[in-house]
Amino acid sequence: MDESKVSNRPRETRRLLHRRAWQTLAWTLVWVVGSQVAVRGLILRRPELVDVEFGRKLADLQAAVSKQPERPLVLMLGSSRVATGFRPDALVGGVSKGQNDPLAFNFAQVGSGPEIAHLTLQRLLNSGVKPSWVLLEFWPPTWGAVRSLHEFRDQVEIGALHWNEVRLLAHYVARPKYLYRQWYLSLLVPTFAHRDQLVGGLTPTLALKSPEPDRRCLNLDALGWWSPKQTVEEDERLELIAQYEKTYQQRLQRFAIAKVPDRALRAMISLCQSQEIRVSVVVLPEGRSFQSLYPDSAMAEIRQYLTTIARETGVQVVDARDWVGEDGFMDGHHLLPTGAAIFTQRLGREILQTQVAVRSDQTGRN
Amino acid sequence: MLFCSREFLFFFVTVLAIYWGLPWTRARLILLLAASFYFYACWNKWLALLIAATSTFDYAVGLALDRSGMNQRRRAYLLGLSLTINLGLLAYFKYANFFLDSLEQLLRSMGASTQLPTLRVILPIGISFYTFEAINYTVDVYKRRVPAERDLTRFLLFITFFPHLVAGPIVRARDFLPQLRQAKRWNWSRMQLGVQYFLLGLVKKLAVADRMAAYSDPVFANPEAYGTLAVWVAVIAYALQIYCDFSGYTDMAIGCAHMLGYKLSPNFNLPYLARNVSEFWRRWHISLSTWLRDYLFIPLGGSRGTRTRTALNLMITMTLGGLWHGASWNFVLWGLFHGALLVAHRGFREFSETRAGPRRWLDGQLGTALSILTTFGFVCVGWIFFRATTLADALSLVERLVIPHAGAASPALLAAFGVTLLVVSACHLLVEYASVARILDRIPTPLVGFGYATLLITALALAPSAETPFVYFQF
Repeated sequence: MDESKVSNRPRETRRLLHRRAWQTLAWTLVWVVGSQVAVRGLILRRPELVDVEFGRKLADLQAAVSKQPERPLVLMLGSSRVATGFRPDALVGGVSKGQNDPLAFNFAQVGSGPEIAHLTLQRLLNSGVKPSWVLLEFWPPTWGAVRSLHEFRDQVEIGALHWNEVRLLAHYVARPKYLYRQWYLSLLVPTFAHRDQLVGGLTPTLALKSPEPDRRCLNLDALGWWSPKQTVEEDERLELIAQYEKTYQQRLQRFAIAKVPDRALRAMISLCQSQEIRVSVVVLPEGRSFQSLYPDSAMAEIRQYLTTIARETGVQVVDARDWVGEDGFMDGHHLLPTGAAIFTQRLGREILQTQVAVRSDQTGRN
Repeated sequence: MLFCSREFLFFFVTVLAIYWGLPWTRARLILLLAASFYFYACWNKWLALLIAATSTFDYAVGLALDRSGMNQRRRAYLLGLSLTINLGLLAYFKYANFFLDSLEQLLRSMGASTQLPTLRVILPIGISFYTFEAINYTVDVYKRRVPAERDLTRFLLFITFFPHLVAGPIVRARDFLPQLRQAKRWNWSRMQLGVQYFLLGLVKKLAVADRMAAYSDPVFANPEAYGTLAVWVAVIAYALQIYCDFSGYTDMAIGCAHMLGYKLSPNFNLPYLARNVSEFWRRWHISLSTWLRDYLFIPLGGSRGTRTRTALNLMITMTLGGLWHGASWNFVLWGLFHGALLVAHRGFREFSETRAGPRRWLDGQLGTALSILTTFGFVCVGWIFFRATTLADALSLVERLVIPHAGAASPALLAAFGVTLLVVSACHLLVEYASVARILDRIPTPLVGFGYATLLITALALAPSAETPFVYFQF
């Protein structure tokens, strides 16, 4: 397009130029809209491009299910404590791999609480994954705090959500309009909203920095178990415990069950029950050092709360707080691989296997 | 409000829609004036009042000059008053602390223990640009090159028209005021041209300039830490950054103006393909270099006098041109460096013009390529003085450029730098040696639309995480 062409032309030529101009602009619009729709479709098909932890776990889960579709699926949801603490590979001895025996998968997400666990369950259902049994983590510090949108954004990529998933998350944020605004922006121009992940993932030659591997996916096994550390030296363990004491001591001193996490847990249980999915709430192991941070009043409130939940919703509550000794933890509340094996095997032996046996009996009688 | 921000997009689309929806020319002018003041006031509302006040003063001076008839004394007095006020404000806001600081250092070097005060002034964004526009108007009215503008709205819009307000191009009264008197009609071709300019500018800014900062900023901040290769990359990256940042801004300004039915003068013409430094200044920041030529170099005597006088005029013009960019000795040095290059080039030209052999060789392909590379090399050395924070840093960078030094590697991945350099070079050659406009006219519209969409998506995908202001906003 040359400037001289804009004026000083015979009327017919001008008319042709104008027609060419508006057609060009219309085509530009078509291409831009089309490309953004395509990018949006790509993100929804391959969520790992922008939502690395969820996408990777979903792909692994779908692969595991497709290999043995007949096995009932047991999913455990929760925070990094579940991510490091529940190791399905340790269930080999505990739950046999027969055709009707459960296939366990760890779908925990680092940093998540009950709100993100609820969202994750909804996303899995939307993706066509329907578990038979869901194990939900109950960890008091995450039940005592209301999280901001900023914190949720560390755990989930808003732009990778469907509309009903955004609406679900909106129930748990103080100012949903910011959440909706972000979602609309990423819907409108996903190329811009996810530019860093898309450039790093699709055209690494154009990236300014070497893409750093997501630490949440380092040492992640095919069944979702995350083992960032194999062992810790005693000095390091003490240092980590001291560090976490600082973070949690004050929080636990003023502990009270907050409304939003309670709402999320109840909504999740209700969702499972409406889908005929079995639910259990699991209190994961904690080391003595970490247990000592809870004042008596907090412990009383926690016990009272879990009893109420069990009574009102009819779900089973598994208290595994004391199942692993202090040396099984890296920092008093995250399990090391050895501790994770102890916890998982006992969970398999005392809960999963018993229930499976009960169910097999019932199936046999029927 | 940056041209590449969401706020500006919303602002511009709203203004554009209302503007073309209004059937009255007068109402459109008032809308543009209000939008321009709003655009400036988003940054600082009090300094928007300052522009309004100084522009109204210049408008009054213009009218007074017109009414002075043949009274030369009165005309000279009015011109002097306008120059004093405009340059005085520029000196106060931009250079007062620089002069005070330099004076203090001078006094200290002479043994005095004086501590001069530091003034707390905010530099009005774009003051260097709109001051030069106001001076251009007053001088042209004084010289009767243009008639005085009688309509205050038009005059204020000439100075404050938001596309060129904060970083140019520096518009001339004789080019822009007549456009304000014309009724505008919706024109699809003009709209396409505007969109094309805007998208090109957006790519230059977001996909090139802001990304090149990742290679240059850390090295210029701490030159001692980096090795020779990283310094070479940083210097070339800065050359790309400043060109794409400034010309990108200009392209967006020209594009916005076109969409509103106005034409701004071009400011760049592939400057890095210049074969000598004189040509570089005919291609780089054209609106400033022609302003300096017309309102400084020629009034000083231009090249009409002796060689020495011409050289002196060049040095004065370029030094003041350097100082125009910022209140720092680095800019003075940069100006002096370019002045010296221009003087040297004049000497070389006189030498080679009288000798057929060198002339023929220089005009050949190899000579042309070598001339372009040499000019680019000198310009890059100039950019070191322009960008470095201190003279010591600049000298350290030059040393590392010339003498191999060990040190840290480039702060960002070299592959992306290589790809960017290759694409920018290819685009330069394509525009210079192929008739892009003619090619575009022959391509089917879906493909041209695809090209525009690619430009937009490239800019969006490669945009940095945080908004980066335009380099020339500080001037």
